[in-house]
Amino acid sequence: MKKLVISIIVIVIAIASFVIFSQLNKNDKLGEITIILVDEIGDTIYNRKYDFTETDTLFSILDEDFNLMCADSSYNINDNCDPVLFGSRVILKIDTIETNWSDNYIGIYENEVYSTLGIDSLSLNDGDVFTFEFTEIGDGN
Amino acid sequence: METKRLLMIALSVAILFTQEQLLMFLPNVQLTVLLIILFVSVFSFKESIIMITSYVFLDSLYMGGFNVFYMVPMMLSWYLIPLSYHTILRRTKSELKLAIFAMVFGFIYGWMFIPFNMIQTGIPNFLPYLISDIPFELIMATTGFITVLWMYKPLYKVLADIGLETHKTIVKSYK
Repeated sequence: MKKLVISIIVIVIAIASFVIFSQLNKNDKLGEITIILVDEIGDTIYNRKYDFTETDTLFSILDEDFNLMCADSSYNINDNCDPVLFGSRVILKIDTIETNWSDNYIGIYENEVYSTLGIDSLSLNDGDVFTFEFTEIGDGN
Repeated sequence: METKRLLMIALSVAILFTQEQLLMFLPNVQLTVLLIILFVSVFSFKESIIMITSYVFLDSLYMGGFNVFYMVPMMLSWYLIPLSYHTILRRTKSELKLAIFAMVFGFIYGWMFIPFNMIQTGIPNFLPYLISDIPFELIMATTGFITVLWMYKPLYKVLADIGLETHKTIVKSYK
């Protein structure tokens, strides 16, 4: 009985923490974001503004205009970009920007600050600028 | 080392690796913490280190081709279990104490990767790594706590029944 009570308390605390964490990460109701793509030689190959609503995600906006490929559970490139149960999808290819995860990856910058959150964990706020940049391992700023 | 114990170490590595691969579709939900605590409590310190080293080498070879940025923090983290078990935990068999340890370990395991990720990406900001890993640490801590609390004792009994217990207490007689 004691074990059961302790287990329930721990599970409730864990679920509550998840709920609080997800509430901290909400979109603005309406707004505009900018998406920039930077290729392997550092050139900006795309720069466009997009309108969004509360239900949009950064992934869904990107998916409308680009051919995306994601990492599977072993970080191999795959055209299956279905949402994952926990955490975030890892995009390995956006049109001509293709990475292999072991030597390079697509770094995401939110308002010119490197994001350690994945694409599914980033909330959309009016005026945000998201830069997707081909990044060599160990070359971050 | 006895052949039987050597074989048990090999089998425990196989069990650890197989369950990890089977549960890979659920991030950080696995029985690895429970099983390592269980095996550490029946193996000696030296046997535990051999088991963990073999498991990490096998896992790193299969998953990432010996990527040092994953292999080293993984190895250091798992070594903490036998180290803690034989020191601060004083070889306890209390499922509650071990469950609390498993919960704390879930967070320590995540933190161990932060400096290596900072070196790998070349981005030296500590806080974003810490925050972005919290959900995964929560999953690992909760899974570790629940599985150890409910499954440690029955599994330990199975291993004890097949005669794998070590750490026999020597009682001095003054008769």
